[in-house]
Amino acid sequence: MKNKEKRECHIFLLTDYEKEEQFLRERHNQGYRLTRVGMPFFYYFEECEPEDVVYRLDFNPQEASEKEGYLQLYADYGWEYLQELNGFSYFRKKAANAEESELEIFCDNESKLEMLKRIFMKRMLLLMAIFLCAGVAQIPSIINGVHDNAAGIMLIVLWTILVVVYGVTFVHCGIGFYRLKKKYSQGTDGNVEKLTGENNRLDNEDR
Amino acid sequence: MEERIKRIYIPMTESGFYILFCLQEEMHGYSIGKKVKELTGGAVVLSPGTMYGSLSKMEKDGLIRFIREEEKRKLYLITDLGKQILELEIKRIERLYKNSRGEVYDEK
Repeated sequence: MKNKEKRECHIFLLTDYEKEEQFLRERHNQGYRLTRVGMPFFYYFEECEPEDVVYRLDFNPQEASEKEGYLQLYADYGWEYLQELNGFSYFRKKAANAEESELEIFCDNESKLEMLKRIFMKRMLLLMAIFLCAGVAQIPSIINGVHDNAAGIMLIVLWTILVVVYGVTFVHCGIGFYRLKKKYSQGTDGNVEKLTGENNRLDNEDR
Repeated sequence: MEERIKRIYIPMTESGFYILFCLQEEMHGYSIGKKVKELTGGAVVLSPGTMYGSLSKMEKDGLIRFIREEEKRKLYLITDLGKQILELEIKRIERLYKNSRGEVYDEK
């Protein structure tokens, strides 16, 4: 079989890991298995026999000394480890002959919420700090800077683009955190369940 | 015992309970999973992400401690603090059980 490589650019942000898992599973079903993920947002595939393979992302950055035990645990459970990127570890497993519960890496909502909390504490806060330093802290120098020459205008344009990109990212991730938190909180709070609509409830029943 | 620890662990999640319960003997993550499946007749299946997260958290909070490594697998054992928490949780479950059977619970 010829292993033709294919590269795809896809933007999945911090809170899009479930969509990313779904995307990778679909590609494998179409006959493209993931070979690696590179920054920024590049996915590399090679052609393969179409197969239903489940992909899962776990966010659990740990010290190098912990990594071996962590990967061994996943290997014991039959998960193939692919790589780590930005704190996310990529795993996959063939869906055939596996029970539904064996295709999940979290068996309760509490541990899903814990992961969401880790992403927030270890990545979202970092993003905010960078934004405050690179974006907001530049405001005085932008205001005081020279506006009447090309370089000054260029600087303002770049700064504006940066702020807009960051703004969109924040809003997107903010909504993402809110939605996932609500989704995972179902069952631990009856009131929340009523608000989340039919789809999520159906998802839960499937599991 | 610290109130904070009590607040976090009582009541315990089902996964958390079984992990702590199993660690009254020295065990590693995957063997805990197998034992729980056996004990519950397959009703409780612990996934690796949940297992790893619980073990790290319980180790950090001092409920269990790392004993040794065996072929890259880390073996843990319950600590005195862990035993106290487990005891409290078992009492709570006993109360629930008795009440659910229409009996009055009398802690003695």
